[in-house]
Amino acid sequence: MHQETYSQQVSARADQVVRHWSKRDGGGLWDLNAHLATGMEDEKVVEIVRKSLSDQTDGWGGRPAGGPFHVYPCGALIARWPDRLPEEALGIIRDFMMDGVLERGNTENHWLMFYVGNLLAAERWPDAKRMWNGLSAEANRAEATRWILGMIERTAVNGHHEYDSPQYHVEHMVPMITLADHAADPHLRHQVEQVLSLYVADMALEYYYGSWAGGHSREGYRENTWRKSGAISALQYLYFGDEEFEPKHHVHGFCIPPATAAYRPPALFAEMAVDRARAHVVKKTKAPRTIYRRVEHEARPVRKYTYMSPSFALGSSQLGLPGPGAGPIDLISWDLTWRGENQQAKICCNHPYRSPERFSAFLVGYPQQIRRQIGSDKPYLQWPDRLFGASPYERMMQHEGTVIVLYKIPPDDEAPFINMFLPRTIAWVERDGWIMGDTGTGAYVALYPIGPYGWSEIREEGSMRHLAANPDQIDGWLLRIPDLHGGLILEAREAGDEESFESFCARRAASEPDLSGWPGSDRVAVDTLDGNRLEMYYDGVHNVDGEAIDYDAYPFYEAPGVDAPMGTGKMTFSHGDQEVRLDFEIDASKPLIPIRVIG
Amino acid sequence: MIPQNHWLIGSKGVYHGTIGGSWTRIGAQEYGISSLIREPDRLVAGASWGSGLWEWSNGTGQSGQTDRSGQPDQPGQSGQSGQPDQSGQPDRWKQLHDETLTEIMAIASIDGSPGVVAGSPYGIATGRYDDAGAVRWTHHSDALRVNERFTNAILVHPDEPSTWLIGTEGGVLIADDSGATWRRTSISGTAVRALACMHGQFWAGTDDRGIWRSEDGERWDSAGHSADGGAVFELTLAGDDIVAATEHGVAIGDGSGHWVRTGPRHLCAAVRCHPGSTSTWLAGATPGGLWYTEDRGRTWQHVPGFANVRAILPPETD
Repeated sequence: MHQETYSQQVSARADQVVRHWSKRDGGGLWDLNAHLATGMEDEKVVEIVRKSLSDQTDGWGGRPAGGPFHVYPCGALIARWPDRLPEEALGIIRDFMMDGVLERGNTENHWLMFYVGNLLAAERWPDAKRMWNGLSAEANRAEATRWILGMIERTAVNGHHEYDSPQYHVEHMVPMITLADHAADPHLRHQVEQVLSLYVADMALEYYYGSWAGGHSREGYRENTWRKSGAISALQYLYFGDEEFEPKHHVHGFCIPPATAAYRPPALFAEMAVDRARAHVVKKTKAPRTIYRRVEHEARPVRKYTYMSPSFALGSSQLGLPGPGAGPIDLISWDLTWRGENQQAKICCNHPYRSPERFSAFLVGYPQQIRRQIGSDKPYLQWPDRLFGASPYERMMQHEGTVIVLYKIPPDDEAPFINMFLPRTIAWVERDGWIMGDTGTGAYVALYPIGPYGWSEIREEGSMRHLAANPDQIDGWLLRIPDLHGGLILEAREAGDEESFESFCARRAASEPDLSGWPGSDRVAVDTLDGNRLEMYYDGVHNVDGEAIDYDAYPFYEAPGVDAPMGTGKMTFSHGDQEVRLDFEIDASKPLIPIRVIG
Repeated sequence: MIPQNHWLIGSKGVYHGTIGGSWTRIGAQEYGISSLIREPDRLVAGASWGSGLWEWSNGTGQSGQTDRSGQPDQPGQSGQSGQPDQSGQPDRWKQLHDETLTEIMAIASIDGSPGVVAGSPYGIATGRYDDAGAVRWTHHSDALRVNERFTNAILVHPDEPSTWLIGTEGGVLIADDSGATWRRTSISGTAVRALACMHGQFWAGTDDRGIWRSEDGERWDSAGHSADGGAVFELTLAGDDIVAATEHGVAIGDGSGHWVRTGPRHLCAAVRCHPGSTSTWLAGATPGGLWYTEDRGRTWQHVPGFANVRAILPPETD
């Protein structure tokens, strides 16, 4: 597809989104972009800006207060709508950026939104001797530019830190899109456009019918049991199309700024995203997790492996965590996805790790009380039925459509069990220890729980408190494996590769996994229906047909049409007759900006 | 201008005030304050949760936002709060951090400008001003182990200003030559959250090994702990006694290894003694707020209005 044709398609979808969103009354700073695009009266614009920036520090003489979710959209509004924003609204934003008490936050998306907003305000009022933090516009512009450019280089060398998050990826893309359109510095704009290509490539490589397959650095509570998860659905629709317009999923306040932006990704990525002609493997390397205490070693890079098959996607991760108590709270290590109903098309499992150490490994509160502190705000992080969040006792390996997931949980652990989610819409078959199902959408799946399991229901209604507006958080089966040495073997197959579901069940049940070495020798092996042998040692080598997987050799990306070696900042994407070449011009002699954010 | 006879409290913002009087926030900031420096012409505050390091110029700014006694502090009302700013500018903390400095856990005053060594989960750092008037920071702990980087306390050697004792999640380390070289000490493998120099010795408070003392900062001997034990967050002098802020409240020791817990049981993150009255102490709990005693810890009185207090500095004069 020609770029011009693709860009027109994106513009059409953007118009669709903006028209839909602008019918809403009110809204906030992010939504205001839709209203400004469709001619809202000045009086209402001022009202929205005033209300959105009405928080003040307490006491007499309070000053405007806000954080990254205010700072970025302020910068975006003044950059995108300089001639449309009423003077009064501009004045409110100016007061906020010059006199506010602003927060930077502590995650990567927080800092990006904060620094982008700060940079755009500094460029809008370049002569300001003193902005909100007592520094000049020039000092603020320089600091923001250093961090943004530094993190772009770091991302191009190490892989994205807050990687592949169905919710937070949007908060990376959207500020960068605003910079791509409006940053004054041509070098910054160039680097931003390049890193946007990486971000879109990340989306495209694991895009699966409105889902983001495989592992994620952060995903919302219960959302890893949803096929359409997080705000990313709106960006996926905007840039990949692929589905009928469904406002519930395809319109999100955070994605209004890009719907009114000029930026358009390279068309190639949209084609890659929807090309499901043949099964293929996607490998990615991502930056190590920020774990800054209560561990003996640094975290290692994250290695992702996702098998994109026409009728399902199975992805897993080598997390590189340094052991207890490192267990990032939002992390999703693996899942299986197919094209089913939104909340009935995922399988996942986890160990709901809890520990006094857990939060203090990457948060600064006193270890003696941080557990209660965080637990008060997010009680679900302590719930025994949790299905998300990393465990230091989880290990896994994958080859194509087969994954082995093993756990060795210490006897004194507070959660001596494993949780597994199964959709309830499948007519499950149990035979010889295997649980098998026909997804009804062209894929068969077989699971072999390692350890005794109990079959129960899991149902829960949600609220915004869980960062998920969907009232039906989860509705399915919960298989709990109350075994310290539990695990799971899962194999997914294209239905078209089997004679029938009955034949699939018979073939799979006829071959028992080799558990003779588990847990005594830390070894589990299984033969796949394609005749491959997976052999996994819990803390040791992972073999496929006797050959060890070399995770350290993972490139930056590996996928059809992608050439992206690790650490170079150079990569090429090709599809059909199109090609995108990126070169971040990394100077290997210079140190990268240090990582100072969590996520 | 912050009166010299006022206490400073690091809570949700920095407050000044007197026992029995009102407490007034300095400026409008409401960051969670972890650490404070008080000098004649400025205050420096370290903030956690990403909010960095801030400086308040003492004498040119206007304080006065929230009165913790419940009485709004109006301009000119309290004698010091709300004084007109000589420069005509609104009150303002000035940012000292940059894009590499965040999550401040400890700070100490050193020579030079900006004259601060700052400790964070990523280690210690020192700064210099650039041409744009912003401070750029250099980090000195990168080669250390993970837990040894995470800095909880900093103590500048009283006789050797470029030698710093650093309390980390992995023990006490000594940074020589302003952080250019490092030495490990005999306290290793435990978190150290308190460091002090008292009675001519160095003192350290740990998470799980009680209180320690040292002649040289390198070789440490156990100095006991109260029967309740728990982590030690601050150590300070009260006359001849040593007072410890601990996980279970305040503990008093005589320097011989005998410690007695006193007062309310809370995670006491900070405790300081009034310079003119060895019987008057202020203690900060997280959570639990602000408490004071005027009889050496026998009776404690809660100060309303604070939820979490992590730093206290005593008045400069009585």
